[in-house]
Amino acid sequence: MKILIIEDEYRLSNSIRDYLERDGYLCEQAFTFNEGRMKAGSYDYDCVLLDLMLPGGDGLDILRAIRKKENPAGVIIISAKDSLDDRLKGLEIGADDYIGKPFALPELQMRIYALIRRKEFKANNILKVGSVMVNLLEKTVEVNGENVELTRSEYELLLFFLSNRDRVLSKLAIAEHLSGEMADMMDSFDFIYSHIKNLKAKLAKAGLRDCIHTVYGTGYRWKE
Amino acid sequence: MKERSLTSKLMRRFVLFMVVLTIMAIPVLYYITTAYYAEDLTDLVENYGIKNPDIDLEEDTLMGLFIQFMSIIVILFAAVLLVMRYVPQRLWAPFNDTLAKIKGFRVEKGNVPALKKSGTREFDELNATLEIIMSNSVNSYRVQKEFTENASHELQTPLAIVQGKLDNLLQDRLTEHQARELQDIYMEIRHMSRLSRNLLLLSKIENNQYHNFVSINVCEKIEQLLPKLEGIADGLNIDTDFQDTSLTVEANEVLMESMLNNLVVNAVRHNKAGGTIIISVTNGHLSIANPSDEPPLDADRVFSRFYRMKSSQKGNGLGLAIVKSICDYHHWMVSYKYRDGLHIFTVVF
Repeated sequence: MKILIIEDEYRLSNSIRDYLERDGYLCEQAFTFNEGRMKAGSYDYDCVLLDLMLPGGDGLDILRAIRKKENPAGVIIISAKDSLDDRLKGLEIGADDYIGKPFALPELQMRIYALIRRKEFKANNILKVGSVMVNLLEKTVEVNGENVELTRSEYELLLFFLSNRDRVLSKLAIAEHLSGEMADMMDSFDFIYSHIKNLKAKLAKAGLRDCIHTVYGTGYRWKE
Repeated sequence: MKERSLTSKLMRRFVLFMVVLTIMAIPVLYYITTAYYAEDLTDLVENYGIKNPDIDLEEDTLMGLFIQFMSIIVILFAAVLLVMRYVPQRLWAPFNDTLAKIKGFRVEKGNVPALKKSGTREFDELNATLEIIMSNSVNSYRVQKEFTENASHELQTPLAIVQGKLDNLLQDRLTEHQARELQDIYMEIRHMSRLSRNLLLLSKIENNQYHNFVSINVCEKIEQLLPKLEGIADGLNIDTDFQDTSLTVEANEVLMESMLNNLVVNAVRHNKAGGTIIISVTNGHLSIANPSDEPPLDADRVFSRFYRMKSSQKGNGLGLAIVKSICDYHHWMVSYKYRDGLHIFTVVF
């Protein structure tokens, strides 16, 4: 999986690269508008992460160039311009997703994972990880062939874990993924404990034990 | 138009009135002179030596003098009164015009009213000074607003970098102590991100950057939002009382969602353990009530930025300020009251 990171802030770009490379993605970096446009035009990527405010030009122009060439790469806009107009404009031109700065890296990885899955397996809505099988269209989950009833939050949580396997997910990243802006307004994130507990119990009942590990006080990790 | 001072304009008008009135008074004076002035008659009588004690010429002459004197005073008075009555009204019209215009001036609207040129030096100077003052305040207000927006905007990138580094660090093998310290840092970073995002939202509302208005059904919007609450709170009791299910408002969708989120999360956050939150929509009103052991809030200050009760340090103190700001933006009324242990927030659309 090849990913192009077009972001002028090299420290952020490096963090994204480090995080994604642990999962076996191949990352290329571009730091200016021209470099970004050149790389996006000359090579094939599965996914392009695109900052909008770049030295030398507007990131949306790169997006236009990519779409004009009918390049199938998925594009996720990462921008500090977190306004609805920019978001709509980006999606209108042909971006696949939009994430506002600052964001949690597991959240970004989940979006990339979902995007690449959508592109690769257009007709296939079944996600199979180890003994867990998720039907993304019907939002149902099977473990070892046995149906597991999950609430909306538990289902989202499971997908978040599956797209960030073997990663420590902080409580905050999880809370934010589950409730977006609302989680932002809460002061403590202890409420996710009960979601984790319930999910664990339901998976254990279906025979999948000890897949969610508590990591000291920081968060949780999925390891089958 | 030649520019003159107020005094010279007033003098010119006064003199003009005097001249006009004097000219108009000539027939009267002429009549008085011919009818009562007996000086010629006195001469005649003296020259010809007519002696008639019945005619007291001295008295007639005095009488004539007196009447003439009085008429001149009356004319003067009339001139002064007329000048005082009509001239200032006309002369001060530009001043009143200016006054009316600056009364409507609001620095946050950003437009400086065009003040008319009057040709009176004092008023023109006043207008010029006022225009400078107004455009200066509009300018500094704009600079200050832009500063808030730029500052919170500039914070997003460093915050994103720090958060990225932390996300990577969390993946390393850490001692328990390190992990806990890291978690604290992570919490603070999130807190800062939220603060800067909220400040950005507030300054964007104040800078009128939300133009897209759509029709939104209030009840439907609330129903969309409630499932998300499941994610943040366990065992939550919410009673919905939707009587006015057709209530539709013209609003910006992002702001509407943000307002509802803030009000609902605020209620969840301050809810008594196990308490029931009541959301009701009745003829043009939305109200959200939660039971709480906390004392009533100060209704005058509850919507101010960074207002927090000493007893509770929850939130970042901007949530309700955002609600107020969004309501003002849409010309809605938001109010707070405390009744029978319930904290109630009401929005009148």
